[in-house]
Amino acid sequence: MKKSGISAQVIVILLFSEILDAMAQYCFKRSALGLEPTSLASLADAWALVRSSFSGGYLGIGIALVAMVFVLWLAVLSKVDLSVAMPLTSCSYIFVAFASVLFLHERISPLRWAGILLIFGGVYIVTRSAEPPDKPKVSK
Amino acid sequence: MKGTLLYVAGLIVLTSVCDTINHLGLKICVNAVGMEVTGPASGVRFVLRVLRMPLAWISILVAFLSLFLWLYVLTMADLSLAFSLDSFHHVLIAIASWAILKERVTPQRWLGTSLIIAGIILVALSGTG
Repeated sequence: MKKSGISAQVIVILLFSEILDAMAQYCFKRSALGLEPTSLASLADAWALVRSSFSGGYLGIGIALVAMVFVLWLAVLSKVDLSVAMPLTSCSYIFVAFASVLFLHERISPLRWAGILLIFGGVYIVTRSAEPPDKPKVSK
Repeated sequence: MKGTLLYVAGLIVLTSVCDTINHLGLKICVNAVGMEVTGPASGVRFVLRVLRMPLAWISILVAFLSLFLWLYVLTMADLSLAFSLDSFHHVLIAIASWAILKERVTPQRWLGTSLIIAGIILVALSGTG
């Protein structure tokens, strides 16, 4: 077995951040579900939309989660190549699918499961292609 | 109608370009800071050092621009088209990683990235409901 250059730590951070990301998307969807359909004819309409989005509390939680995801993403970038880290973010498709089934009771078609399986295979191959990163320069 | 489609597709490609600039910028900052995160304390120091770089803020700004563009696109575009075309950013980022960051993008990595793009297109084509 070829040794992958990705440490278990990076995988854990990525999985954790993808789960947080899925939770953020769930919060955004919940806050959007609570909104009245509006037209954005004027700035006042837009402001009213922003105000009512925040009223449920879900949007605030979503934004806090996104901030955490950003910090975790920086940590991941400090440990692996961008051309490895980016494809791995597609794991979110897998998590969002499971979250949609579990919490939003959405139905997932066989075609979509096939796509999710392809993404999973691709993520696995990219992970295997990662080289052990060069030791970062020690900073003062 | 065809003009509209081209317009929408162009906007989606533009969001992909924004995403690429965003992540490329962040990676350049992270590489420049060049420290290893070993715990919460060094993690905070690391994030603060990254956020001290103007390029990081340009990246964040571009990320917001990309988000607003994307929301605008979603009001017009068919979701399956939007999500399919959006997977284009994986290609752009792989090319940018190779050309600008000088990462070694192996054939294996290209294969994995291609599989992911195919998977995203399948997910997108499977509809939204």
